[in-house]
Amino acid sequence: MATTANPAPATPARGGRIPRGANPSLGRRIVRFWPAGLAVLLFVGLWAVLADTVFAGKSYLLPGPLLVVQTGWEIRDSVLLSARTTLVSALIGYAVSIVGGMLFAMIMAESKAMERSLYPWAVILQVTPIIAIAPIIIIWFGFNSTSIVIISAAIAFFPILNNTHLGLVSTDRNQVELFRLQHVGWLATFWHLRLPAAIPSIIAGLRVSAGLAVTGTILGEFVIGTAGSYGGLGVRIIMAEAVLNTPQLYAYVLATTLLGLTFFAIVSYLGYRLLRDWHESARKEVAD
Amino acid sequence: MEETAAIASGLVADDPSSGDREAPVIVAVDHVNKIYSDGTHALKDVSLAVRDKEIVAVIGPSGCGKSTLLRAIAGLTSPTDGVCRVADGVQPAFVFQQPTLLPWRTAERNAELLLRLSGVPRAESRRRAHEAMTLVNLAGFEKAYPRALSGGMRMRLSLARSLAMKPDLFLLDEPFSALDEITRKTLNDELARIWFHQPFTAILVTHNLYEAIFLASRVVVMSARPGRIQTEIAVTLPYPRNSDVRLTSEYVSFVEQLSIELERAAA
Ligand SMILES: Nc1ncnc2c1ncn2[C@@H]1O[C@H](COP(=O)(O)OP(=O)(O)OP(=O)(O)O)[C@@H](O)[C@H]1O
Ligand SMILES: [Mg+2]
Repeated sequence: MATTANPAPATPARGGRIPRGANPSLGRRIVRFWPAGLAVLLFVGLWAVLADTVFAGKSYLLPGPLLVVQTGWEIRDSVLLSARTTLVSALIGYAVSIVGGMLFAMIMAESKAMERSLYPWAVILQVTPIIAIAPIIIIWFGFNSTSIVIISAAIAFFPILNNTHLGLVSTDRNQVELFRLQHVGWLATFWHLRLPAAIPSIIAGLRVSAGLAVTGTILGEFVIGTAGSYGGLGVRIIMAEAVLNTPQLYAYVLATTLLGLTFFAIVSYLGYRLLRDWHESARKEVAD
Repeated sequence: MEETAAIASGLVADDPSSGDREAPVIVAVDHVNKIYSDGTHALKDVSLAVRDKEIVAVIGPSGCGKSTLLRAIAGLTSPTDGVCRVADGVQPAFVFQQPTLLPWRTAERNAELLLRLSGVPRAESRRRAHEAMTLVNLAGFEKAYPRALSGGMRMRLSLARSLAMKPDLFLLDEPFSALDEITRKTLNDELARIWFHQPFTAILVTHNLYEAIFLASRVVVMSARPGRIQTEIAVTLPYPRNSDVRLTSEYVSFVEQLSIELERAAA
């Protein structure tokens, strides 16, 4: 790990206090993030050089980063409005997939019979390309944002189902017996033991699905179009492509990427906040 | 000393060693066999009676079925045949071989867990949890999460969690085996002291001869494959027992006697 080259002294933990590595100094932040920053700089630099040399004068093939950002700024109103449409659909799709995925996971974790009868269907949903069943969804729900949300939810569903289920059935046997010896009821056992024990796994699923919910929304917008409201980023991308306005196309793609990243980052951060005190995955590599 | 090394094969209810012959039987294990589904014969014709306020130590080679015996008594596993009974109204507290803490709860919230689960109000749970943590020398670590505790501290916390319940019956599965010698002795002394002031019934599984002799009024020696009771030693050392007991010649000779029995069990 790059950070070991520059070891920062850990704050000594006093009796019972937990080293949290809160408020790392600016220097330590730089140490922690410079590899990622360098990679971004290299990528953008390479992109700029390619656009200026191999693709010079061919911005319809590869517009340079500066041009993309400039174009994005010029059409910022459209970018923001379409991003908002996409965001709303993605949020609803994500919420639906969370509720549905966790509900089915709980049912499957409760009964082996349920698991055996439901899990194959979840797998079938997962392996069937959603794009292939999009027409069916449209026939049922029409060319509207409901269909977009359903496509988004269908794509984000499986990782949540799978990870929640895995988490709920992996409770430590001794811990379960500890509760059993105390004659703790089903609900209290679920609430105080099985659910918290499953949280790291649930968060892993939520993180994967966060990006998938955005991807699913864009896919839905590709297939369904404006659906009444101001068209989402997926619609803008198709339209920019139709008129071969590549700088605009890139600007919308960039906005999509940023939206997905933000989604992922927020979910990751919330997950980290939940786990940082007790779970191994949230240990600070420098501070400890 | 020879006469105390009585071979106990049947129910031990009329064993001369138990201090109080009239005390009610709290745990009765009657001709219990346990054969796991993979064919492992973990317990063979095991019988044992533990009377009120008695500490019985169970010692024997690894894999001889000690944990299985405790789990059968707690009702966590059912015997293939024979019966395990615990007296009515007695709620056993089990201390597992592993600490079995909930990593998302702080030390104090782990220590109060069983109390909270059995409906004891928050404030009282917290108070008793702190008391128990002090007993096992964990005061000052209330807000620490298990991952920030050492292996020995985790085990002490697990012990505190059960101590806080003030149970009538303790089922202790090698609670001290992860501890260093000094901490182990301190906790042994502490447990002996707690027992003298506030007696409880306990079955203590251990690999440590000294600990068994120091704490128990009887030591049951088990042998392996299939696990069965080989012999039983009555420890007639006087109470209260404190660390001075370890210097007496009686103590030393009990340890020697147990050591010989244990070697025979392993052979
Ligand atoms: N769930 C199980 N399924 C099958 N076999 C088991 C199971 N639990 C224990 N055994 C077997 O039963 C025997 C006794 O196991 P047990 O855990 O009771 O031993 P032990 O005396 O507690 O050993 P140790 O001192 O190492 O803790 C062992 O041979 C073990 O492999
Ligand atoms: Mg064991």
